[in-house]
Amino acid sequence: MKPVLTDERIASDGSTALGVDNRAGISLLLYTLREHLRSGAAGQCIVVFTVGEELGLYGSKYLDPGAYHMKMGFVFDCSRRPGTFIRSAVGCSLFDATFVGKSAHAAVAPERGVNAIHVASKALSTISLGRLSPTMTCNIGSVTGGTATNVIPDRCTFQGEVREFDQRIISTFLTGIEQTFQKVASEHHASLEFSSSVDFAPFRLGTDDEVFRWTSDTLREVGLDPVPIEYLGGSDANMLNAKGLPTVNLGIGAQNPHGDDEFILIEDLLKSADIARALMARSTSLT
Amino acid sequence: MPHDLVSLFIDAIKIDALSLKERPMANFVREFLRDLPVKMTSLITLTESAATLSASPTPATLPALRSP
Repeated sequence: MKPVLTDERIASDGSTALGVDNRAGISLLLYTLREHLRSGAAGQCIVVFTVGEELGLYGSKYLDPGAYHMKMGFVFDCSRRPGTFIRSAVGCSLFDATFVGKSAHAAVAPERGVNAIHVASKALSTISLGRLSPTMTCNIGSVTGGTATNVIPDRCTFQGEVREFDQRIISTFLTGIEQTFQKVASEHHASLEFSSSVDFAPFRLGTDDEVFRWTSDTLREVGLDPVPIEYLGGSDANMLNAKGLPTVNLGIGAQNPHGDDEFILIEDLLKSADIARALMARSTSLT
Repeated sequence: MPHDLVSLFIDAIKIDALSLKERPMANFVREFLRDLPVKMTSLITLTESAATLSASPTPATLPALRSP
């Protein structure tokens, strides 16, 4: 890792990602917490560093906000610039679809086989992928199947995801996919094994929610115009809202996350720390 | 002389840590907080954590890094 520091930004040298997502959040929280404590201020805040966020929100999944009497949450993990905050985000459900055919020698006895990859490709051609509406996306992210060129494959598996702001729409869509795949499988003398699960649930905070008001007031306090947004990515905020802890995800300006051109403006890093400092100070009003 | 926060951030990005291989970053956090009057605790029990990790895919079979 070779960070390049200029007067206005911190970037990688272009050969690797920088890791701004989310070392920026960790750093600004550590820094602000230290300053807050050195000032002698007493607060009612808990700072949480979650693990495994990228791969499955694992840390927040096993956090119990109720055990610590948490009232609201502020995640510092949105790549938008400070002032923006996510007040609504999609949920995401994952699905596996395995088409089961029949293996046979591809040259000696092809008539005895049912090519699962062929059936799966027929099924895949019947559904739409990508942005299905302004609020909904569907993706097939992996396809596996087959063992050798002279063997008719008996299994082929898709793994995919569906995202929407309404969990009911996701469920209905998944039912439709399963029925469509089942129909194609049956037409080609194959069978289907289908399963789905909720990866993370959607959330939506209203303008009258306390965390929404706190966020807006705090952003104004540090000189920013609050910009609440709806977002098609997930974060720990999804998991915490699902657990009953009203939580927003704040923009910290970690731009182009995961890319080799990742960077953060120094003014955004400092402004994000101002937001954290203001939130910690406001926490003294909680009883 | 960069701002203290900038220096801290640069220290953080030099740490070799990835999602689910986060012990070096956890150590960085612990070390930073060591002399501060804060109560550090794991919000999940070790038993629960171990159960979670054992139920999760092994690092070798984890999916490629994805942003949720």
